[in-house]
Amino acid sequence: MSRSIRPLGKGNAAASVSAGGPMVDYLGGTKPLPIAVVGVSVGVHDRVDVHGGAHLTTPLLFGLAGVDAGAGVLLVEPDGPRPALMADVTINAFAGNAGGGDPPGGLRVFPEGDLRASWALGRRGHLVYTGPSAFLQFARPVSFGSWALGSQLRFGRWDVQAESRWVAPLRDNAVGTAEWWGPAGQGALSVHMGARLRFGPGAAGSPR
Amino acid sequence: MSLRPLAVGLWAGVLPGCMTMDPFLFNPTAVDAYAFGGDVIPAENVEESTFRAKDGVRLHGVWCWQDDPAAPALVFFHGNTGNLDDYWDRLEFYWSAGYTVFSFDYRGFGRSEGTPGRAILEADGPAAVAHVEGTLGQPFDTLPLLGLSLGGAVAAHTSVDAPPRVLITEDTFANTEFLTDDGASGLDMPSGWFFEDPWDNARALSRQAAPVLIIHAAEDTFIPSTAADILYAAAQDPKALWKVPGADHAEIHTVAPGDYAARIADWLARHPSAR
Repeated sequence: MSRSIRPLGKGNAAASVSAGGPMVDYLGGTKPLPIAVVGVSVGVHDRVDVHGGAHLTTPLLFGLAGVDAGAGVLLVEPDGPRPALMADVTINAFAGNAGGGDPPGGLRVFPEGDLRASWALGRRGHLVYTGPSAFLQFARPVSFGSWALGSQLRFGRWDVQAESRWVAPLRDNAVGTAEWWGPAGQGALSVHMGARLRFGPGAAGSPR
Repeated sequence: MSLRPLAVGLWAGVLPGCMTMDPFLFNPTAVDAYAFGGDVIPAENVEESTFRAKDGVRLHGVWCWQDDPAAPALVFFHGNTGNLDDYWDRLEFYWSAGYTVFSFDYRGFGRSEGTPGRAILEADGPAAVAHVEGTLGQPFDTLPLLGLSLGGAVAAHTSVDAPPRVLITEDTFANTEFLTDDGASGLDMPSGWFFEDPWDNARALSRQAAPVLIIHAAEDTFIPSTAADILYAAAQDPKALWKVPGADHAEIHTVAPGDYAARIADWLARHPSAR
């Protein structure tokens, strides 16, 4: 789920929860992986947020600790039909060992970069957004590009967010042991839902 | 009762790690009776058999006898899906090539009792060896053992303590590291994140002494054929590798039936029984 659509503004903060993931065939049907994440974001500048999160599903299912931390920067202010443009860099880290012993587990760090263009709609300032992401790894020069399309509906201090991503659209998903579902047999379509509660003096206002 | 202690326990890591991906290695179908359809093998040549693993679990197998009692025998360990009925066309293929064929269902598959797991390697494979030796009155090292996909894993592990005359693996994965990494996602994820057993078939091949023929579908979309390279590199001599162009997972016997039968026969001819 995209973390940085518009900045919170200096002195504001938010707590969020999201769930969802790539569509794959498991437990008798094709459905999103149940990846749940809780997080907090803090506006440290009118254009900059920092955020951190903890993954809930992986520790409960696999004993796999997962955390992330990052920052988002508003690069371009919105102006009429011109969308706001916000960039985000996040470091994801996972560590664990399902059964103990052999095979060994380990720690892996995956940097992720997002670029989101967003438009505010209506009096409440609901947002629609789109943009690319890149999920990287250090072990081999492989990156998993994706494109996101989503909306963030604003109800006072509450935001409700829905997003879909086409992950790795250039990869043939017929190869491999997992049966991912993606358009034309390419990559995997992911589906995410989330909610966020904003705090602070400017938390109830329209998005910047 | 308050749920807070449970929630705190979950969050603090008291209960995590309750799930692994090991069970996803198996996709069995249990049945009360086998169909064993088709008109290739006469019904009178088909004989169901039962035997017990060392932990007492009752396993079901099938013999497809040749009319000639001197016909060579071949032992086939099937893949991770369904049960013996799903591999019947293969048993017909090997029977048509002149072999008396034995195959069986691992625990939890077909009519076999129990639940699939590590015991397939440690108990079911060795039990099948004992059953074959007892039925044929021949030592196992006079017989060829062929394992398809997961069956190649069972065959490789079984061969460490009970080497067959020749071992043939077909479309077999190298280990769980391969499944979580190259085979499934391309992501660099240690298999220890998801599996509690390495299913290290490459290591098993390095420890077993039978001449091994590694066959893999070159266009395998389920277990990419790079798995065969890992297995081949790990195996002891004598060994051979054959990648079959144009074939996807578990379909070599239909894509290149003539070459497939010839390769098996050739490997057997090059490695006659020492007895």
